[in-house]
Amino acid sequence: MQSQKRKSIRWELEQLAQKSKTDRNQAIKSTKKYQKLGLNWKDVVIFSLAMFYTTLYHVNAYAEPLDSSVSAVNFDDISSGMMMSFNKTSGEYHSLQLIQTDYDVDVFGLLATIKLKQTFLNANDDWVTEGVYAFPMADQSAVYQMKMTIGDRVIEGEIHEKKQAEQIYQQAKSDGLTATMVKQYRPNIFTSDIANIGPNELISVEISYQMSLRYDQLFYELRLPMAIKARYTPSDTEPNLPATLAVNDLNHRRIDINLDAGFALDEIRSLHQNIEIAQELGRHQIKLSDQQLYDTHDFVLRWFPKVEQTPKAAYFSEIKDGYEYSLLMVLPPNNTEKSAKPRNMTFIMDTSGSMHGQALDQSKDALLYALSELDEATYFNVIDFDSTAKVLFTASRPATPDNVSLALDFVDGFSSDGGTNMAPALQISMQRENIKSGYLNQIIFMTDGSVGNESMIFDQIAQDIADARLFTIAIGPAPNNYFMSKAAMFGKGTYTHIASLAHVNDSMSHLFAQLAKPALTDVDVAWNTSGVIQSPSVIPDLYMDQPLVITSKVPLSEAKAAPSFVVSGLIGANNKQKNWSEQISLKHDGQTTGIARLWARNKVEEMTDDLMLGGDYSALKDEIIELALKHHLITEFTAMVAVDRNPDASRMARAKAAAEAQAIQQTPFPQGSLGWRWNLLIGMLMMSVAVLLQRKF
Amino acid sequence: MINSNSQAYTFGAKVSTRKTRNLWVKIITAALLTVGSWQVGSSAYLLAKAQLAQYLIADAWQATMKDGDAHKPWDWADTHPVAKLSFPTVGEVTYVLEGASGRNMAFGPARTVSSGMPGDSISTVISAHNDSHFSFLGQVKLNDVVQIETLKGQFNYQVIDLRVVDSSQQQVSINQQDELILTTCYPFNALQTGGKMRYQVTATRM
Repeated sequence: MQSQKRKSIRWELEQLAQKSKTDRNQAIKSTKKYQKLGLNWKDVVIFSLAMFYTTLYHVNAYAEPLDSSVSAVNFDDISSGMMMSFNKTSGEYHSLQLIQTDYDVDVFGLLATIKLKQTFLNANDDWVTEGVYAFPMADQSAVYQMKMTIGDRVIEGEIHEKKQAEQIYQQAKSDGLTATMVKQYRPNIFTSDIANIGPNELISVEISYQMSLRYDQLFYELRLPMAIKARYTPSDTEPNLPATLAVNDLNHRRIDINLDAGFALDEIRSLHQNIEIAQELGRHQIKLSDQQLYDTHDFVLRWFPKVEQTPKAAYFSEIKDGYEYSLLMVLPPNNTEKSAKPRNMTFIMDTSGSMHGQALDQSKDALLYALSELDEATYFNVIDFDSTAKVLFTASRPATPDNVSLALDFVDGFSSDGGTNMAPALQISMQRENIKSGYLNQIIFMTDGSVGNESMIFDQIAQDIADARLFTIAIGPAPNNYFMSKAAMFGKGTYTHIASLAHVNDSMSHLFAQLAKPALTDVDVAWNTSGVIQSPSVIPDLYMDQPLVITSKVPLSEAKAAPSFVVSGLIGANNKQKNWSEQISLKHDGQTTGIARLWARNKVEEMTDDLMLGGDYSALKDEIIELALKHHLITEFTAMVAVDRNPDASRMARAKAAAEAQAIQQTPFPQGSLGWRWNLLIGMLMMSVAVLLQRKF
Repeated sequence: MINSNSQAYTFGAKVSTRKTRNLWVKIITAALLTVGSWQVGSSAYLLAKAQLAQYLIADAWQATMKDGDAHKPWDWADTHPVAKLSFPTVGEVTYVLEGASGRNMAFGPARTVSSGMPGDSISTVISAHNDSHFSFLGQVKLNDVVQIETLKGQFNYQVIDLRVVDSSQQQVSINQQDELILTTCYPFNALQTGGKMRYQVTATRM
């Protein structure tokens, strides 16, 4: 009955609508026709003619002739400051192709040695005078060797002070010599400049670097970044990002890993890419299955030792130039009790444009997890930032159900756009309103770290952190790891990376366990020898599952056959402090290569930190340069350059001629006339015809 | 429906009389007059715009020379003068705007942004229309001196090359030397616009 009635009402309405529609249509039709008849149709003619000529006039005055035959590259597509090789005679733009990127990784215990080989091809029939390729570098890596291969000639790179390297490279470039220069732009972004590549020539640049692996209670991790994400730099700071110029990356990657973990493994897992694993004599050979790179995910490999095999301490050393260099790793015992102090947590969430999509979903999930874990004794606040910062409560509040539900609504409303302007959000989080005395003040910072003004942010954190602790959570497929770990270091907290949506709960519960347990503070290592220079010189607080990793340098005369240490620290706060100390004696090793470099790299990093925090610039710079030159390290102040010094004479001449034929830039001719003459003539003609007509009739 | 149809029919059936022929002529005359004056008006407008804008630009340039800041010639402009260009031998002075877009070139000669500035060791490219600000460019002869005044001071250039190029085959080369490249359309007194040919004057720093 109901439906019948509704149906009928609806039917009636439809009928009505139909009726009025047809009525109106008819009315319109008739009036239209009527008006059309009565319409002054000369108006229509005049109007259409006028429209026609207006169009013509616009075409005349504004259309710039398209020079379609000149080049495949439209100049509008090239951003300013970009340099393209353009050949005057052939009229073509040239770029190099990066046809292959090879990673050959050797993992031995805690150390990875990586050979990164980039093969560039000049697929043109002309010379390419210069190409620049910017690529990501694993953070905490010590780059110590570079080789350039052209044909069958291999040229070893030399380390120089950056300015000097630049001079050598520019000189070689203008002399027509093939040359490569590898520089560090950021600690985790490097560039290769390649000069004078012949027609259809292959050139490969091989960079060797070493790094100590990340070690967690459960697993070891090797991370190779595959792409550089665009960084946001606030408008008031100088943008200083490298750009890839005249090099086209074809995204072919080969990754081969030779893994010698030193203990039995439970599992080897790649987080984002498919891999093939082969085993022989306790070693594992790991290969990337698909060599085409489709996305920008970092390559992350984790291996899990069998539980009973997990080493509690490890020691590697190298003897070089009268010193013994060592790498020491100690895992403090796990503390089971929770912190006695109540906590005050401030969550900062990055909702800038770069977080759009999956990254924002991930961080929302992570934040919702965090909010649901809070108990009523805990105070909290939420800050959301993009170009500006918005704060949930003016001062932090206890996590009562009401407050938490307010926060949930707040978080739900997040959407991502705008720039990544971190400074205001960080400032709010470290302000008095959000810091409670007598509480453990913990700031949890979720971002992808796509910022360009890193050192300013570090400085700010170091200045204002006081008793609070900053924990960074990296979100998204390719976060800026350098920024994340360094920010956590200056904030005296830890860094967690959430690789994908599926890992949000695992990673967050691990972080919350870290946050709930007291850290090991005042960590100290006492050696049984004297004259030890260790790096880092001040050991940071250690949270749950964090190993103590230090590198050191001892004069050989002081080094003992069986080095031993007492590692000690404090657990818990104030009156409930407990001492922890452990005596460790290890076998003398002296066989591992590369520990000296690692020590030097850590030392350079420490000095760079001092620089960022306003240390004596020239003194620190000199010290860094001295250390870097001695240990062959690429740093902020040093670069490697390789020049093919002995080419045959004709090659040099051809390269030089090509460079001269290449104007540094070309631009199409702008339009050359305003086009009023034609309009004036036509207009005059028309008016005179009109006058004639008037006279005749 | 029927009603309107019949009206249309009535109109269509009207026989062309002298009256209607007169009407036709009137209409055509009106149309020609309207469009004709439109055309004349628009070309006058273009010319006036081109000439008057130079006065405003000159004022803006004076202000720039005084305080060193960029000044817009009018409030809604998206460009500003960057130099004063003088041709002593021809007796012409014009003011150069930043950015060689069609819109800027309606108001004055414009500098290609990707090129350099006088005093840098990179070519400076300035273009203007051959029927407004560079109509005299054909009178510039070899070895003539071209003066350009920028915030960095006065620079003298000597003309070393005059040539006609086909813009569909060639582009302006920006070289690593301090030179001045002036371009405009060719031929100079063409009625139509949009041709491929360009006139290029190259002058090197003296």
